[in-house]
Amino acid sequence: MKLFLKDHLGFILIYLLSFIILPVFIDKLDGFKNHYLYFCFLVIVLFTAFLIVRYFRSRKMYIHLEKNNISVENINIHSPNSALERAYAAHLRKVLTLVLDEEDKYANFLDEQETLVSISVHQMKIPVSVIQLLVQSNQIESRDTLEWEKINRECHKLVFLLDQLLSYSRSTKLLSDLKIEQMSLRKTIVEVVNELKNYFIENEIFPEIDVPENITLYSDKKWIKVVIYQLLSNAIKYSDPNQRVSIVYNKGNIMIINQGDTIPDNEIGRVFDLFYTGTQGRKSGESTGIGLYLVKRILTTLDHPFRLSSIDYQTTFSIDFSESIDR
Amino acid sequence: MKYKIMIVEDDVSIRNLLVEHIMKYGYDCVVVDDFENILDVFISEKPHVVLLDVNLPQYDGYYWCRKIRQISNQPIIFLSARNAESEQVMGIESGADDYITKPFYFDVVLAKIRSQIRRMYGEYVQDSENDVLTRGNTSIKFKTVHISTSMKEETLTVTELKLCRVLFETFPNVTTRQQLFSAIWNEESFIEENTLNVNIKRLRQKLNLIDSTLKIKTVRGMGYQLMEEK
Repeated sequence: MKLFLKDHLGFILIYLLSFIILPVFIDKLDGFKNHYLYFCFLVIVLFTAFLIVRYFRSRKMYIHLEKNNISVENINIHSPNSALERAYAAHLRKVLTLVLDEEDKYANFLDEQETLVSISVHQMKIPVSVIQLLVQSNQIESRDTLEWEKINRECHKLVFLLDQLLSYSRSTKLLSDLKIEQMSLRKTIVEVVNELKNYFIENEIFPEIDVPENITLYSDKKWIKVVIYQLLSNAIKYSDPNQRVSIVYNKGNIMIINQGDTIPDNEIGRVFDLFYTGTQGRKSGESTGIGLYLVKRILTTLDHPFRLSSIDYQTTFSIDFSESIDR
Repeated sequence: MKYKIMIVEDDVSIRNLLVEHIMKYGYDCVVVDDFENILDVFISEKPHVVLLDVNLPQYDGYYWCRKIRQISNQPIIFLSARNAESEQVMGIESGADDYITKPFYFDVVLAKIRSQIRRMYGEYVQDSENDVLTRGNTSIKFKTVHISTSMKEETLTVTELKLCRVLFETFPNVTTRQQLFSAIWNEESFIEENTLNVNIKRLRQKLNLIDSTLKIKTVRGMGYQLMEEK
């Protein structure tokens, strides 16, 4: 009610002025009847002037109301004039506070989730370590080497999945986490291959690296390693027995090639979707549908174009580093 | 002289396994139960190498590492489940000499302990029992890279030596192909699928040449088994 009166105060005043004070005034001076047209003219001028002033005092608000692209940055009105504009601005600030609060809550929730995942994963790795150590100390003395080997293999899978979970949970804050640095492409790949040593050996698949020593890549090393790790472990997982996984460099592109069942054309576009497990993945039951999604997200953020193609029992994943390479 | 290793690890299972394994290789072990007074234990026990977990109750491993560094230069090796590079950097920056991530291999832990001792005390660890490995009438000599019986001797290649060692150590049990591949894996140039077959073949020839009573038998679907012929 108060705001309504304040906002309409101008109207009330101009009404009083136009229809009570002005006629009385004119009547006193020279008689109202003789100056009816002049009175009309005055009223119109007054009203027009009033409207113009009123528009300019609330101009920002009207522009703001008609704006289509409202974002957190431009939601505020600076130095409002009229009563209504001031009220509107104050209201916007309240909405903004609300939005920011919600965003904060959400960010905190995400943080909490990430911390939770990180702590849990690290806690879970301890029992896995214990199991692996037990396997190692028993394997030496036992006759059932093969059985222990199986347990060891399952442990490796657990560790892989735990690491993947950790990478996924960290990737929610991918952009703010980036650290672009200089690295040797070959060295980085060799490091990842060695991390996957056991996985290669268990499957009796062997790596073949054809990458020159002198290529320097500018990117985020940690995330590039996550990408290569995921791609290589996929390449091993879907390789036919006794084949090689090749990592080949060609004109700014890195290609990871494995020999194994062709990915059907209708699946190639979808393998990057979260939780999508293709025919192959469902067959082996080891696919989580997280790996390639993670790869896509990371490579898109790092701005390295990539391509997946699969023909005649040969699947190639190529990443185009040509924009980020120094030769 | 026996070197003393201090193990600071709050997970009892890992701690016990570590102690058991490290003792087997002829070191003394000191374990810490009271995680509030790690420094006191360090001072009273004077260990040669410290294995330090990062996640500890009360203060973390970085804190204790800095504390120990204020008074001593003894080698400190971090054990941690966190494998982020920043964590490793932090470990090294707080004064540690090396960093091992969980899950780890006993061999890696032992190798790192050995290399720290070698670096710190300037002597090669005397693994006198590991210098020569004998099974049946045949011995491998690690220093000269030879395989020999009492009468004859053959030189081995590095790869053959690695294979031999694993086969001898698992004798008389079956050695899996995975164990063998793992032993000959090369961190720079890697291996090919037929590397193993070729080397096993050569090893068989050499065993023959020196009239060894040992034979390498192929166990289908598993790997190889070193057998002694009577």
